Amino acid sequence: MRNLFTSTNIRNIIILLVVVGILMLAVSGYLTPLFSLTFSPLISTQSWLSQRYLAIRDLFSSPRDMASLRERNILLENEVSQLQSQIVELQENLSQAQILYTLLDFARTNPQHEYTAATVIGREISPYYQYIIIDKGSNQGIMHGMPVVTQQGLVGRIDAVVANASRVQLISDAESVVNIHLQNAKVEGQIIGSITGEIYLEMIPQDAKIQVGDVLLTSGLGGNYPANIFVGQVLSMQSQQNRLFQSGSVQSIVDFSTLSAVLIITNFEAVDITPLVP
Amino acid sequence: MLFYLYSSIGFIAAIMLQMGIFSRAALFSGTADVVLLFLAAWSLRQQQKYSWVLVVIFGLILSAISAAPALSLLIVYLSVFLAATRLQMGLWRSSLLSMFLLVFFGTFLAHGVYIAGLFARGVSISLTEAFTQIMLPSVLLNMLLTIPIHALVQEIFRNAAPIGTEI
Repeated sequence: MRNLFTSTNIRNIIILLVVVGILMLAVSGYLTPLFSLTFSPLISTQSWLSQRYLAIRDLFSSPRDMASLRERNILLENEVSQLQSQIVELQENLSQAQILYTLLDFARTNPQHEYTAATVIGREISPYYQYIIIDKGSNQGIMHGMPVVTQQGLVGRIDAVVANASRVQLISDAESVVNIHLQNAKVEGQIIGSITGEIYLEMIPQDAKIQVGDVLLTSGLGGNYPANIFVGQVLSMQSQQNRLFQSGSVQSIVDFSTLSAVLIITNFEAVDITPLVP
Repeated sequence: MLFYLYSSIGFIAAIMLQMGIFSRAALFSGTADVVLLFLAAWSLRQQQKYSWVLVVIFGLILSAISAAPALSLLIVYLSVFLAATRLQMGLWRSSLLSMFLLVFFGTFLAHGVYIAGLFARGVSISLTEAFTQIMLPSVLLNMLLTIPIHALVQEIFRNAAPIGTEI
Protein backbone atom coordinates (compact mmCIF):
# COMPACT_ATOMS: atom_id res chain seq x y z
CA MET A 1 0.00 0.00 0.00
CA ARG A 2 2.85 2.24 0.77
CA ASN A 3 4.30 1.75 -2.71
CA LEU A 4 0.94 2.52 -4.40
CA PHE A 5 0.82 6.15 -3.29
CA THR A 6 4.29 7.14 -4.16
CA SER A 7 4.65 10.49 -5.91
CA THR A 8 5.51 8.79 -9.19
CA ASN A 9 2.41 6.65 -9.18
CA ILE A 10 0.19 9.58 -8.25
CA ARG A 11 1.65 11.56 -11.15
CA ASN A 12 1.05 8.68 -13.58
CA ILE A 13 -2.52 8.26 -12.38
CA ILE A 14 -3.16 11.99 -12.83
CA ILE A 15 -1.69 11.87 -16.34
CA LEU A 16 -3.83 8.84 -17.14
CA LEU A 17 -6.96 10.55 -15.85
CA VAL A 18 -6.13 13.70 -17.87
CA VAL A 19 -5.61 11.65 -21.04
CA VAL A 20 -8.84 9.69 -20.46
CA GLY A 21 -10.64 12.96 -19.78
CA ILE A 22 -9.35 14.52 -22.97
CA LEU A 23 -10.34 11.41 -24.93
CA MET A 24 -13.83 11.49 -23.40
CA LEU A 25 -14.17 15.16 -24.31
CA ALA A 26 -12.95 14.48 -27.84
CA VAL A 27 -15.30 11.54 -28.33
CA SER A 28 -18.24 13.52 -27.01
CA GLY A 29 -17.44 16.38 -29.43
CA TYR A 30 -16.58 19.10 -26.96
CA LEU A 31 -13.12 19.57 -28.42
CA THR A 32 -14.20 19.94 -32.08
CA PRO A 33 -13.92 23.77 -32.19
CA LEU A 34 -10.51 23.48 -30.60
CA PHE A 35 -9.41 20.87 -33.16
CA SER A 36 -10.78 22.95 -36.01
CA LEU A 37 -8.99 26.00 -34.80
CA THR A 38 -5.77 24.05 -34.46
CA PHE A 39 -5.86 21.87 -37.57
CA SER A 40 -7.42 24.23 -40.14
CA PRO A 41 -4.26 26.25 -40.77
CA LEU A 42 -2.27 23.04 -40.93
CA ILE A 43 -4.67 21.46 -43.41
CA SER A 44 -4.76 24.60 -45.52
CA THR A 45 -1.01 24.77 -45.56
CA GLN A 46 -0.73 21.09 -46.41
CA SER A 47 -3.30 21.47 -49.20
CA TRP A 48 -1.54 24.50 -50.67
CA LEU A 49 1.78 22.70 -50.53
CA SER A 50 0.37 19.60 -52.18
CA GLN A 51 -1.32 21.57 -54.98
CA ARG A 52 1.84 23.50 -55.74
CA TYR A 53 3.79 20.26 -55.84
CA LEU A 54 1.31 18.62 -58.20
CA ALA A 55 1.25 21.72 -60.42
CA ILE A 56 5.02 21.75 -60.66
CA ARG A 57 5.11 18.00 -61.33
CA ASP A 58 2.46 18.38 -64.08
CA LEU A 59 4.43 21.20 -65.61
CA PHE A 60 7.34 18.88 -66.18
CA SER A 61 5.50 15.64 -66.90
CA SER A 62 2.40 16.82 -68.89
CA PRO A 63 4.00 17.03 -72.35
CA ARG A 64 4.94 13.38 -72.07
CA ASP A 65 1.50 12.49 -70.72
CA MET A 66 -0.28 14.48 -73.44
CA ALA A 67 1.68 12.72 -76.12
CA SER A 68 0.91 9.31 -74.66
CA LEU A 69 -2.74 10.27 -74.18
CA ARG A 70 -3.04 11.45 -77.77
CA GLU A 71 -1.43 8.24 -78.92
CA ARG A 72 -3.80 6.24 -76.78
CA ASN A 73 -6.74 8.30 -78.05
CA ILE A 74 -5.82 7.59 -81.68
CA LEU A 75 -5.51 3.89 -80.90
CA LEU A 76 -8.90 3.86 -79.20
CA GLU A 77 -10.51 5.83 -82.03
CA ASN A 78 -9.11 3.33 -84.52
CA GLU A 79 -10.43 0.49 -82.42
CA VAL A 80 -13.87 2.14 -82.21
CA SER A 81 -14.05 2.66 -85.97
CA GLN A 82 -12.97 -0.94 -86.56
CA LEU A 83 -15.63 -2.17 -84.15
CA GLN A 84 -18.24 0.03 -85.81
CA SER A 85 -17.40 -1.36 -89.25
CA GLN A 86 -17.53 -4.87 -87.78
CA ILE A 87 -20.97 -4.10 -86.32
CA VAL A 88 -22.21 -2.88 -89.73
CA GLU A 89 -20.76 -5.96 -91.42
CA LEU A 90 -22.34 -8.27 -88.84
CA GLN A 91 -25.69 -6.52 -89.17
CA GLU A 92 -25.53 -6.99 -92.96
CA ASN A 93 -24.62 -10.66 -92.49
CA LEU A 94 -27.45 -11.04 -90.01
CA SER A 95 -30.03 -9.56 -92.36
CA GLN A 96 -28.70 -11.70 -95.23
CA ALA A 97 -28.81 -14.78 -92.99
CA GLN A 98 -32.38 -13.97 -91.95
CA ILE A 99 -33.42 -13.75 -95.61
CA LEU A 100 -31.68 -17.05 -96.38
CA TYR A 101 -33.25 -18.76 -93.35
CA THR A 102 -36.68 -17.60 -94.52
CA LEU A 103 -35.98 -18.89 -98.02
CA LEU A 104 -34.75 -22.16 -96.53
CA ASP A 105 -37.97 -22.45 -94.53
CA PHE A 106 -39.95 -21.89 -97.72
CA ALA A 107 -37.92 -24.57 -99.54
CA ARG A 108 -38.51 -27.02 -96.67
CA THR A 109 -42.24 -26.40 -96.62
CA ASN A 110 -42.44 -26.89 -100.41
CA PRO A 111 -40.34 -30.02 -100.91
CA GLN A 112 -41.91 -30.89 -104.27
CA HIS A 113 -39.52 -28.43 -105.96
CA GLU A 114 -35.75 -28.18 -106.13
CA TYR A 115 -34.36 -24.71 -105.52
CA THR A 116 -31.24 -22.69 -106.14
CA ALA A 117 -30.81 -19.52 -104.11
CA ALA A 118 -29.54 -16.41 -105.86
CA THR A 119 -28.73 -12.83 -104.90
CA VAL A 120 -30.18 -9.89 -106.77
CA ILE A 121 -27.25 -7.89 -108.14
CA GLY A 122 -28.98 -5.32 -110.31
CA ARG A 123 -32.04 -4.00 -112.03
CA GLU A 124 -32.91 -3.29 -115.64
CA ILE A 125 -31.50 -0.03 -117.03
CA SER A 126 -34.73 1.07 -118.71
CA PRO A 127 -37.51 2.11 -116.31
CA TYR A 128 -40.13 0.73 -118.75
CA TYR A 129 -39.06 -2.86 -118.21
CA GLN A 130 -39.38 -4.70 -114.90
CA TYR A 131 -36.41 -7.02 -114.80
CA ILE A 132 -33.78 -7.93 -112.23
CA ILE A 133 -30.31 -9.43 -112.62
CA ILE A 134 -29.28 -12.35 -110.36
CA ASP A 135 -25.88 -13.87 -109.68
CA LYS A 136 -26.61 -17.43 -110.86
CA GLY A 137 -26.36 -18.57 -114.48
CA SER A 138 -25.88 -21.57 -116.71
CA ASN A 139 -22.82 -22.67 -114.71
CA GLN A 140 -25.17 -23.26 -111.77
CA GLY A 141 -27.74 -25.09 -113.90
CA ILE A 142 -30.07 -22.17 -114.49
CA MET A 143 -32.05 -22.31 -117.75
CA HIS A 144 -34.40 -20.05 -119.64
CA GLY A 145 -37.99 -20.21 -118.42
CA MET A 146 -37.32 -21.43 -114.87
CA PRO A 147 -39.74 -19.87 -112.34
CA VAL A 148 -38.36 -17.56 -109.67
CA VAL A 149 -39.99 -17.26 -106.25
CA THR A 150 -39.38 -15.96 -102.75
CA GLN A 151 -40.82 -17.16 -99.46
CA GLN A 152 -43.67 -14.70 -100.08
CA GLY A 153 -44.68 -15.83 -103.54
CA LEU A 154 -44.06 -15.68 -107.27
CA VAL A 155 -41.42 -13.26 -108.55
CA GLY A 156 -41.13 -14.07 -112.27
CA ARG A 157 -39.19 -16.30 -114.64
CA ILE A 158 -35.71 -16.54 -116.10
CA ASP A 159 -35.60 -14.56 -119.32
CA ALA A 160 -31.93 -14.67 -120.35
CA VAL A 161 -28.95 -16.62 -119.05
CA VAL A 162 -25.17 -16.20 -119.26
CA ALA A 163 -22.46 -18.21 -117.49
CA ASN A 164 -22.72 -16.66 -114.04
CA ALA A 165 -25.74 -14.37 -114.18
CA SER A 166 -29.33 -14.35 -115.36
CA ARG A 167 -32.01 -11.82 -116.17
CA VAL A 168 -35.40 -12.36 -114.53
CA GLN A 169 -38.63 -10.98 -115.96
CA LEU A 170 -40.82 -9.93 -113.03
CA ILE A 171 -44.54 -10.62 -113.05
CA SER A 172 -45.01 -6.84 -112.88
CA ASP A 173 -43.39 -6.38 -116.31
CA ALA A 174 -45.66 -5.05 -119.06
CA GLU A 175 -44.97 -8.10 -121.23
CA SER A 176 -45.58 -10.64 -118.47
CA VAL A 177 -48.77 -12.70 -118.47
CA VAL A 178 -49.42 -15.29 -115.73
CA ASN A 179 -52.38 -17.64 -115.67
CA ILE A 180 -53.92 -17.70 -112.22
CA HIS A 181 -56.88 -19.08 -110.36
CA LEU A 182 -58.77 -17.41 -107.56
CA GLN A 183 -58.94 -19.79 -104.64
CA ASN A 184 -62.24 -18.58 -103.14
CA ALA A 185 -64.21 -17.86 -106.32
CA LYS A 186 -62.80 -20.95 -108.05
CA VAL A 187 -62.36 -19.11 -111.36
CA GLU A 188 -59.38 -18.74 -113.64
CA GLY A 189 -57.92 -15.58 -115.11
CA GLN A 190 -54.71 -13.80 -115.98
CA ILE A 191 -52.52 -11.21 -114.36
CA ILE A 192 -50.73 -8.71 -116.58
CA GLY A 193 -47.96 -6.32 -115.58
CA SER A 194 -47.54 -2.71 -116.64
CA ILE A 195 -44.80 -0.19 -117.38
CA THR A 196 -45.19 1.31 -113.91
CA GLY A 197 -44.95 -2.07 -112.19
CA GLU A 198 -48.60 -2.35 -111.21
CA ILE A 199 -50.31 -5.71 -111.74
CA TYR A 200 -53.77 -6.04 -113.27
CA LEU A 201 -56.24 -8.88 -113.14
CA GLU A 202 -57.90 -9.73 -116.47
CA MET A 203 -60.11 -12.33 -118.15
CA ILE A 204 -62.36 -12.87 -115.12
CA PRO A 205 -65.87 -13.96 -116.18
CA GLN A 206 -68.62 -11.43 -115.50
CA ASP A 207 -70.60 -13.84 -113.32
CA ALA A 208 -67.70 -14.56 -110.98
CA LYS A 209 -68.07 -13.20 -107.46
CA ILE A 210 -64.68 -11.73 -106.58
CA GLN A 211 -64.03 -10.13 -103.21
CA VAL A 212 -61.27 -7.70 -102.32
CA GLY A 213 -58.55 -9.68 -100.57
CA ASP A 214 -59.18 -12.94 -102.48
CA VAL A 215 -56.01 -14.94 -102.90
CA LEU A 216 -54.47 -15.56 -106.34
CA LEU A 217 -52.44 -18.70 -107.07
CA THR A 218 -50.77 -19.80 -110.29
CA SER A 219 -52.99 -22.19 -112.24
CA GLY A 220 -50.22 -23.92 -114.16
CA LEU A 221 -52.02 -23.37 -117.46
CA GLY A 222 -49.76 -22.51 -120.36
CA GLY A 223 -46.88 -24.43 -118.85
CA ASN A 224 -44.84 -21.39 -117.85
CA TYR A 225 -45.24 -21.71 -114.08
CA PRO A 226 -45.94 -24.57 -111.69
CA ALA A 227 -49.44 -24.61 -110.20
CA ASN A 228 -50.39 -23.29 -106.76
CA ILE A 229 -47.67 -20.71 -106.18
CA PHE A 230 -48.93 -17.71 -104.24
CA VAL A 231 -49.13 -14.59 -106.43
CA GLY A 232 -51.00 -11.91 -104.49
CA GLN A 233 -54.39 -10.62 -103.42
CA VAL A 234 -57.18 -8.80 -105.22
CA LEU A 235 -56.93 -5.08 -104.47
CA SER A 236 -59.99 -3.85 -106.39
CA MET A 237 -62.39 -5.03 -109.09
CA GLN A 238 -64.15 -3.25 -111.94
CA SER A 239 -67.13 -4.72 -113.72
CA GLN A 240 -68.76 -3.08 -116.75
CA GLN A 241 -71.89 -4.50 -118.32
CA ASN A 242 -70.73 -3.89 -121.88
CA ARG A 243 -67.54 -5.90 -121.46
CA LEU A 244 -67.03 -9.62 -121.67
CA PHE A 245 -64.76 -9.87 -118.65
CA GLN A 246 -64.20 -8.22 -115.29
CA SER A 247 -60.87 -6.61 -114.56
CA GLY A 248 -59.15 -5.47 -111.41
CA SER A 249 -55.87 -4.70 -109.76
CA VAL A 250 -53.67 -7.03 -107.75
CA GLN A 251 -51.44 -6.40 -104.76
CA SER A 252 -48.39 -8.62 -104.95
CA ILE A 253 -47.06 -9.69 -101.56
CA VAL A 254 -43.52 -9.56 -102.91
CA ASP A 255 -41.99 -6.09 -102.74
CA PHE A 256 -40.09 -6.01 -106.03
CA SER A 257 -38.25 -2.79 -105.20
CA THR A 258 -36.47 -4.32 -102.20
CA LEU A 259 -35.79 -7.82 -103.49
CA SER A 260 -32.37 -9.00 -102.36
CA ALA A 261 -32.48 -12.80 -102.63
CA VAL A 262 -34.65 -15.21 -104.60
CA LEU A 263 -35.12 -18.93 -105.18
CA ILE A 264 -35.09 -20.45 -108.66
CA ILE A 265 -37.16 -23.61 -109.13
CA THR A 266 -34.70 -25.77 -111.05
CA ASN A 267 -36.76 -28.92 -111.55
CA PHE A 268 -39.49 -27.20 -113.52
CA GLU A 269 -39.25 -27.18 -117.29
CA ALA A 270 -41.33 -24.52 -119.00
CA VAL A 271 -43.41 -25.72 -121.93
CA ASP A 272 -43.07 -23.73 -125.11
CA ILE A 273 -46.51 -23.68 -126.73
CA THR A 274 -45.56 -21.14 -129.40
CA PRO A 275 -45.73 -23.71 -132.25
CA LEU A 276 -49.31 -24.52 -131.19
CA VAL A 277 -50.47 -20.92 -131.32
CA PRO A 278 -52.34 -20.40 -134.62
CA MET B 1 -4.29 5.31 -125.01
CA LEU B 2 -4.81 6.65 -121.49
CA PHE B 3 -7.97 8.37 -122.71
CA TYR B 4 -9.48 5.12 -123.97
CA LEU B 5 -8.51 3.33 -120.75
CA TYR B 6 -10.11 6.03 -118.57
CA SER B 7 -13.16 6.12 -120.83
CA SER B 8 -13.66 2.35 -120.63
CA ILE B 9 -13.35 2.41 -116.83
CA GLY B 10 -15.80 5.31 -116.74
CA PHE B 11 -18.35 3.49 -118.90
CA ILE B 12 -18.06 0.30 -116.84
CA ALA B 13 -18.44 2.24 -113.58
CA ALA B 14 -21.48 4.10 -114.97
CA ILE B 15 -23.14 0.83 -116.05
CA MET B 16 -22.50 -0.78 -112.66
CA LEU B 17 -23.78 2.26 -110.77
CA GLN B 18 -26.85 2.40 -112.99
CA MET B 19 -27.78 -1.26 -112.52
CA GLY B 20 -26.81 -1.48 -108.86
CA ILE B 21 -28.04 1.80 -107.46
CA PHE B 22 -29.76 4.30 -109.76
CA SER B 23 -32.24 1.84 -111.32
CA ARG B 24 -33.48 1.05 -107.79
CA ALA B 25 -33.83 4.70 -106.74
CA ALA B 26 -37.06 5.54 -108.52
CA LEU B 27 -39.05 8.76 -108.45
CA PHE B 28 -42.62 7.59 -109.15
CA SER B 29 -41.57 5.02 -111.77
CA GLY B 30 -38.82 7.08 -113.38
CA THR B 31 -35.11 6.58 -112.81
CA ALA B 32 -31.97 8.52 -113.61
CA ASP B 33 -29.83 7.28 -116.50
CA VAL B 34 -26.24 7.64 -115.34
CA VAL B 35 -24.87 5.96 -118.46
CA LEU B 36 -26.56 8.57 -120.65
CA LEU B 37 -25.26 11.35 -118.40
CA PHE B 38 -21.72 10.00 -118.48
CA LEU B 39 -21.92 9.56 -122.25
CA ALA B 40 -23.14 13.14 -122.75
CA ALA B 41 -20.41 14.63 -120.53
CA TRP B 42 -17.73 12.40 -122.03
CA SER B 43 -18.83 13.10 -125.62
CA LEU B 44 -18.55 16.84 -125.02
CA ARG B 45 -15.07 16.39 -123.58
CA GLN B 46 -13.52 13.94 -126.07
CA GLN B 47 -11.65 14.97 -129.20
CA GLN B 48 -10.32 11.62 -130.28
CA LYS B 49 -10.72 10.17 -133.72
CA TYR B 50 -11.98 6.74 -132.70
CA SER B 51 -14.17 7.62 -129.72
CA TRP B 52 -17.23 6.40 -131.59
CA VAL B 53 -15.80 2.86 -131.38
CA LEU B 54 -16.14 2.96 -127.59
CA VAL B 55 -19.75 4.15 -127.94
CA VAL B 56 -20.51 1.26 -130.29
CA ILE B 57 -18.82 -1.31 -128.01
CA PHE B 58 -20.59 -0.16 -124.84
CA GLY B 59 -23.86 0.38 -126.71
CA LEU B 60 -23.72 -3.25 -127.85
CA ILE B 61 -22.86 -4.47 -124.34
CA LEU B 62 -25.79 -2.54 -122.85
CA SER B 63 -28.12 -3.76 -125.60
CA ALA B 64 -27.15 -7.32 -124.61
CA ILE B 65 -27.70 -6.69 -120.89
CA SER B 66 -30.94 -4.76 -121.23
CA ALA B 67 -34.38 -6.20 -121.89
CA ALA B 68 -35.07 -3.29 -124.25
CA PRO B 69 -35.34 -4.18 -127.95
CA ALA B 70 -32.05 -5.15 -129.59
CA LEU B 71 -29.82 -2.23 -130.62
CA SER B 72 -32.26 0.38 -129.25
CA LEU B 73 -29.76 1.55 -126.64
CA LEU B 74 -27.00 1.60 -129.26
CA ILE B 75 -29.13 3.86 -131.45
CA VAL B 76 -29.84 6.21 -128.53
CA TYR B 77 -26.23 6.44 -127.41
CA LEU B 78 -24.85 6.92 -130.92
CA SER B 79 -27.41 9.69 -131.50
CA VAL B 80 -26.35 11.45 -128.30
CA PHE B 81 -22.69 11.06 -129.25
CA LEU B 82 -23.26 12.50 -132.73
CA ALA B 83 -25.29 15.39 -131.30
CA ALA B 84 -22.46 16.09 -128.85
CA THR B 85 -19.86 16.21 -131.61
CA ARG B 86 -22.06 18.73 -133.48
CA LEU B 87 -22.44 20.83 -130.32
CA GLN B 88 -18.68 20.74 -129.78
CA MET B 89 -18.26 22.59 -133.06
CA GLY B 90 -19.30 25.78 -131.34
CA LEU B 91 -23.02 26.21 -130.87
CA TRP B 92 -22.38 27.32 -127.29
CA ARG B 93 -19.13 28.15 -125.58
CA SER B 94 -20.28 26.64 -122.29
CA SER B 95 -20.12 22.87 -122.33
CA LEU B 96 -22.50 22.80 -119.35
CA LEU B 97 -25.29 24.34 -121.43
CA SER B 98 -24.61 21.82 -124.17
CA MET B 99 -24.71 19.09 -121.55
CA PHE B 100 -28.14 20.24 -120.32
CA LEU B 101 -29.40 20.31 -123.90
CA LEU B 102 -28.02 16.84 -124.62
CA VAL B 103 -29.40 15.31 -121.45
CA PHE B 104 -32.83 16.88 -121.90
CA PHE B 105 -33.34 15.75 -125.49
CA GLY B 106 -31.34 12.54 -125.01
CA THR B 107 -33.69 11.44 -122.22
CA PHE B 108 -36.75 12.09 -124.37
CA LEU B 109 -35.13 10.24 -127.26
CA ALA B 110 -34.28 7.23 -125.07
CA HIS B 111 -37.80 7.08 -123.65
CA GLY B 112 -39.28 7.48 -127.11
CA VAL B 113 -37.23 4.51 -128.29
CA TYR B 114 -38.29 2.42 -125.26
CA ILE B 115 -41.97 3.22 -125.88
CA ALA B 116 -41.63 2.48 -129.61
CA GLY B 117 -40.01 -0.84 -128.69
CA LEU B 118 -42.95 -1.73 -126.44
CA PHE B 119 -45.45 -0.83 -129.16
CA ALA B 120 -43.45 -2.91 -131.64
CA ARG B 121 -43.75 -5.90 -129.33
CA GLY B 122 -47.51 -5.45 -129.12
CA VAL B 123 -47.65 -4.21 -125.54
CA SER B 124 -50.50 -1.79 -124.95
CA ILE B 125 -49.40 1.09 -122.74
CA SER B 126 -50.93 4.35 -121.66
CA LEU B 127 -48.92 7.24 -123.11
CA THR B 128 -50.21 9.62 -120.45
CA GLU B 129 -49.06 7.24 -117.73
CA ALA B 130 -45.69 6.81 -119.46
CA PHE B 131 -45.28 10.59 -119.70
CA THR B 132 -46.32 11.52 -116.17
CA GLN B 133 -45.10 8.50 -114.21
CA ILE B 134 -41.85 7.66 -115.99
CA MET B 135 -40.68 10.21 -118.54
CA LEU B 136 -41.02 13.46 -116.58
CA PRO B 137 -39.57 12.07 -113.30
CA SER B 138 -36.67 10.60 -115.29
CA VAL B 139 -35.99 13.93 -117.02
CA LEU B 140 -36.05 15.68 -113.64
CA LEU B 141 -33.63 13.18 -112.08
CA ASN B 142 -31.30 13.40 -115.06
CA MET B 143 -31.30 17.20 -114.98
CA LEU B 144 -30.54 17.15 -111.26
CA LEU B 145 -27.54 14.89 -111.84
CA THR B 146 -26.26 16.81 -114.86
CA ILE B 147 -24.04 19.29 -113.01
CA PRO B 148 -22.29 16.82 -110.65
CA ILE B 149 -21.62 14.29 -113.42
CA HIS B 150 -20.45 16.98 -115.83
CA ALA B 151 -18.05 18.33 -113.20
CA LEU B 152 -16.80 14.83 -112.34
CA VAL B 153 -16.16 13.83 -115.94
CA GLN B 154 -14.47 17.14 -116.76
CA GLU B 155 -12.19 16.72 -113.75
CA ILE B 156 -11.30 13.11 -114.54
CA PHE B 157 -10.51 13.77 -118.19
CA ARG B 158 -8.68 17.04 -117.56
CA ASN B 159 -5.58 15.01 -116.72
CA ALA B 160 -6.27 11.99 -118.90
CA ALA B 161 -6.82 13.88 -122.12
CA PRO B 162 -6.24 17.63 -122.13
CA ILE B 163 -8.34 19.35 -124.80
CA GLY B 164 -6.38 19.90 -127.99
CA THR B 165 -4.18 16.83 -127.71
CA GLU B 166 -4.56 13.97 -130.12
CA ILE B 167 -3.58 10.70 -128.49
